[in-house]
Amino acid sequence: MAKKRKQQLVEDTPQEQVDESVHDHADDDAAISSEEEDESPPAPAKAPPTASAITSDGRYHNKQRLLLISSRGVTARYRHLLEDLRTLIPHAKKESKLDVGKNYSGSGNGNGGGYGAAVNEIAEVRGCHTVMFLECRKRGQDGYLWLGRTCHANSQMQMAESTNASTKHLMISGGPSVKFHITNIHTMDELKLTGNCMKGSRPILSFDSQFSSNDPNLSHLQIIKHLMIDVFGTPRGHPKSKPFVDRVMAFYYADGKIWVRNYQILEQTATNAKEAQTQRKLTGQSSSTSLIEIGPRFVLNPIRIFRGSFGGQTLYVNEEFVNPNVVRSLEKKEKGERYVKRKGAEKKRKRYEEELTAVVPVDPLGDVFR
Amino acid sequence: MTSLISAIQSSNRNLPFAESFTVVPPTPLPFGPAAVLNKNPEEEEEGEGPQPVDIHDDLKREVAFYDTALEAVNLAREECEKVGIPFRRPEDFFAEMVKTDEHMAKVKDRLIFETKKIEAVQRRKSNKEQTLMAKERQAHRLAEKAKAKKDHMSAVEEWKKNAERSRGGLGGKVVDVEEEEDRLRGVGKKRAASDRKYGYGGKRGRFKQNDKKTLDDMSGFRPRGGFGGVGQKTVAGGSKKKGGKKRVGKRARDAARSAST
Repeated sequence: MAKKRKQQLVEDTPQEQVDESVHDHADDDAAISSEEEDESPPAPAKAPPTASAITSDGRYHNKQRLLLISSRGVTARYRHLLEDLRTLIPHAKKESKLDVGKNYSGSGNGNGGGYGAAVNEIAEVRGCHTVMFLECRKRGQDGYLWLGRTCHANSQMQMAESTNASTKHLMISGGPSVKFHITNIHTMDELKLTGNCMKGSRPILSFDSQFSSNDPNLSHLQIIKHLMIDVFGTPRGHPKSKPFVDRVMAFYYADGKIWVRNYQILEQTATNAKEAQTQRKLTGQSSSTSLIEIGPRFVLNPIRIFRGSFGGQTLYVNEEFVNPNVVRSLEKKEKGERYVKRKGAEKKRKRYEEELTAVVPVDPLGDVFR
Repeated sequence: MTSLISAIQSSNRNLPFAESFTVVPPTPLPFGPAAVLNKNPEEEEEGEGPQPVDIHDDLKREVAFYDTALEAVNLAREECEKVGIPFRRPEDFFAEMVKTDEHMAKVKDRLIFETKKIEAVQRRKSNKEQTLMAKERQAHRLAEKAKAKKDHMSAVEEWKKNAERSRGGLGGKVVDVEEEEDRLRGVGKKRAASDRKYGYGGKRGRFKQNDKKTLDDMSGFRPRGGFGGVGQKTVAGGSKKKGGKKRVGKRARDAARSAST
């Protein structure tokens, strides 16, 4: 079904729609950035933060949708994680697993759009403004999570706003998008995570203070934060959302990674007056709030932030990130070295013994007293 | 850098709280290098402060996360009150939950199982302790008993010595306690007779069995009953040392008595 739609699009969409910045990200990431840095975008005018275009009156105005999609060949754990996210995010749209060959040409422009182009196209068809794309590589060993706004999103959102150069650039390429390496996944299925919440209830999004710090080293976190708000925050008044708040989704930046936790908010009122009084003395409230973890929990290691959607100018590179491939190859090399060393030692020993026999002269009286 | 800033600005949609539901709790996380990075110069002047937490310590990390999230919840509740968004779910509001009842039952089962496990372990532990205690108590009791016995014996010894000393004026005759007891207890006639016949003490076995001689010995047999006969072996044997004087009849004995007086 999805493929049919895609093919239809290939014929329909004009070529400008897919920007040259959308690249085959299956290539080396560094290649993208080096290419992109040449054509630096026009220096953006420092526009003051625009007032939000959305009036907040409790009705459904923030009509943004999220495309939740994974590549083919994800393992069970990732699949469960996606399933969890789908139940937690009511504005998510489901799509079949993405299978594109390396030579997939987005919109038929021939230069190989790869995953990025394909995802963007699907997002456009489904009318999604943000994308969460889980990509699995090396037979499910490594999971990469992409978060981003699509071309479609920004062109719609900012149509009404000013048409200065910087926004025009974004209009075409969409973005920003972030690529994470996802690790330490625990899904909701785990029995250790005992919390539960209403399906579709709006989560409080808690970002630790580093997400809004002015430190230039941490400014990339602000982009991530804004993306997370769109991705994980349920829009107010969404038809599937519930009117009460019973969970908090927390993001922490620690150890160079973003840790994600999802808690249930449990409010317990005291059963009798005496308890209530002691409670009030302790916390100032008659009810005590505690949190129970619902799950899923995972750790996101940001690798790269692109200006566009699934490509484009690199805004941030995590220097500390070590590709898991490199780690594995190092391990293998170490193993190989052990073998080479042993073989070398064996050879050396053999040579030494041969030399010994060559050096010692034959004793002419050796067998006299035998 | 400028592109990054512009990207931040353009990515910011400036949603009000009611739409975004975003809270940034002001307390920094207590983790190692990050905490140092965020520290204000004033705080550094204060000195030590709380020690940075190791991010790889699971328990401490989760506690830090929990605290931050709780702070965020409290902040969000206030914000919600301001905007007029209901926060608490009323008791009678039923809704589909994220986890199914089936799943929650499993969770509950597991919790129960775990508490049971913990209880079982504790019970086993306490049982072990109790057996150890009981052993100790038993040993103690035995020692006490042994001591009491020893004390008693020594007391008896003392008394014996005292008694000896006090009877010193009466020719120094010592009463053997055991003999005395035997005498008091008394040995049955039958016992005494068989002792006389077979001897007392020593090995059992064939010494206390009948042999040819004793089998034929009918001297002890009294057809009219009575036990006295056993000892009359010697009479039957023919030697008339003991039984030389035969007991006379009753009338004769009476006559003899009256004659003597």
